[in-house]
Amino acid sequence: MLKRLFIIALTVLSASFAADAAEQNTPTPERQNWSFSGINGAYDRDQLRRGLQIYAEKCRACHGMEYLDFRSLIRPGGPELSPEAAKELASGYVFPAIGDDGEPTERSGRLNDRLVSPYTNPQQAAFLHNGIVPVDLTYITRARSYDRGFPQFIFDLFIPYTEQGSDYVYAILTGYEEGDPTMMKNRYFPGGVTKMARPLTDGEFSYPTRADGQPVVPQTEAQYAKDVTAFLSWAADPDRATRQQTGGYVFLYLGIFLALCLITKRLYKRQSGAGR
Amino acid sequence: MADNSQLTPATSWLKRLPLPTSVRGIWLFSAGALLLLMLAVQILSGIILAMFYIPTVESAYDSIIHIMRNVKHGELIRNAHMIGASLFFFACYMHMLRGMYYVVYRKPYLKMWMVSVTLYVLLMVTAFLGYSLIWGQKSYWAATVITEFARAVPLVGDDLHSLLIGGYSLGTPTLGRFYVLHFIIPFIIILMTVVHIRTVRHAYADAMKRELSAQDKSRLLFDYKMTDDDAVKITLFLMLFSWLLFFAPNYLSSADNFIQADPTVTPLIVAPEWYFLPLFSILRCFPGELTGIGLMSGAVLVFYFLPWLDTSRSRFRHHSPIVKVCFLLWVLNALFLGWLGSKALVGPDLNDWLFGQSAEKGWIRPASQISTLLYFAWFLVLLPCRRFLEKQS
Repeated sequence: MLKRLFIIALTVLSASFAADAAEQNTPTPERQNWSFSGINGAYDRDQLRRGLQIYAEKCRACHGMEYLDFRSLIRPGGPELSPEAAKELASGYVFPAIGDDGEPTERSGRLNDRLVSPYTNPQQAAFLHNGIVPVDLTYITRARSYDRGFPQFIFDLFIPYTEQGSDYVYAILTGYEEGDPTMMKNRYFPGGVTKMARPLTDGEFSYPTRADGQPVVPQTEAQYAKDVTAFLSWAADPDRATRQQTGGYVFLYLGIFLALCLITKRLYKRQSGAGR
Repeated sequence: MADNSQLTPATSWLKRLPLPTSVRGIWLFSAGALLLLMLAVQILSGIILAMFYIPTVESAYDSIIHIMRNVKHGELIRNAHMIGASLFFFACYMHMLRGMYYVVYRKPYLKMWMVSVTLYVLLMVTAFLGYSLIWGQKSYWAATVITEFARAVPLVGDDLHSLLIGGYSLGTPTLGRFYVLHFIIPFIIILMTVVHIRTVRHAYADAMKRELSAQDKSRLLFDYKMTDDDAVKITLFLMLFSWLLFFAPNYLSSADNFIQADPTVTPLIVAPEWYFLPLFSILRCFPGELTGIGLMSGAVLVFYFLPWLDTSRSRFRHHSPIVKVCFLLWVLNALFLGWLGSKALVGPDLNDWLFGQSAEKGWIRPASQISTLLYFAWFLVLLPCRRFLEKQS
């Protein structure tokens, strides 16, 4: 009886939620298959490298990643650039400095520097972008999300699935209306119009190819969006691999400890029962 | 069990007490050991975080990012503190529900119950202060909303508000005092926890109508049966904790808290963490600022009055099944109230909704209002009626 009531309540609630979502004009982003989601998810190094390439050739023109430093790009678990490649990328950035003569001067970036915004200050950024400051991208996949609804949000805990932000970023990048001359109509953005013109187009970047000259992945907008979102997800959560590994050991330990606790309990029970 | 002579002193007391404890009840409900564990986790991780945190408007958010990205194991410590707060409340609510179900607020537990509710209030204050320190969009606006309550106080409201936050709006002075209080109150909580455990012991002695010997006391706290149960419980709880910490660290946190606080941008929906959602629903669903604040504080402070609201003197075996079912419904209603709190408040007032006088769409507001009434119905209707439903002893 209770169970049936529960099921009825569940159906009604999820139906009403679905109705709520349908009333809004902005569709909910679709869940994507990320290589890094789930309990044993791992970043795909080549994908991260492609994503970094897109960031460096495109996004960087407006967006900074002020919490990401160049040396992180070398670390295992990330794009794993060679130190030379990371240094070369860093040298393309300019930082203010004080010269030996005490006069303000400029220097090129080093491995310890961060992928800062191309603008000297937010006012300049806003001035150049019709009053909007381009967001920092380090935590963009963490700082965006969407409601997974009841009861899906309960299942998400156990799957586990917490990549809503990546879904959202991918949806925004691929959600532009086809054939729109302003290139700013985006069905996933609240209100339907963003201030960012459609950034990615098919065949825009020259991806590394296989030995026989064939492309490794299709050169499409969707693939570009996926790669750059994967890179941004890594930037927001670079320690995933080590964390999951530690988690595995912790669970092994707790499992053994739980077994020992249960055995102790059982032994004590048997012992006290034997004296009866 | 026919032969009581084989029971340890502790369990035999539990058998003879006028009310049963978790030993006979639902097993996971007795979350006292889990609360001690979470208190330890919070204090340890909090002290480490305090070494790196900078309570200024310019650096608060960046210092947390710094802890997560650059401090060795900083991400784990920060997330442990954040997830720990959530699980602390989870264990706390289990503990309180257990107390309500087994009526552990009647004599001889009256004193213990008063201490416990005070602990709960202190825990909420600490959680709120700590949450404000994140200085993300969500925590900033949560702190703004809560501190604005002070303004609702008649006559001295504005002065009280600026005294509370140290200025006209949230800023570095606010962070400074919140940080200090967030650091100090946990030590008061430790002190109160000691008092809480001691009052349990005194209550047992009262129930036994004699003084406890030193051996009795040690057995009561460290009896094999209890510690064995607690060990299993703690391990299972740590598994939940580790699952969140290692495999879903962002499950409980809000996306808006990865955006630095910006006083010029209001987020679309202002909502607290899940453990405050039912109270948040109660706060916002009725019109009128003072009504909301009154109802919300009433929803918490009503726990102080449980012993006088529930005047039934029944033993547990005479507890009415109606009351038990109602209690289950009350818990489900509180969960539902929490879910409503996470939604945008749309819809007409309950009165208009019932009589169809409003064209406004949506049902979240009337549902919250009904749910709020049901929340208070348990305390103000059912508990006073309880003595007529149950056999008195």
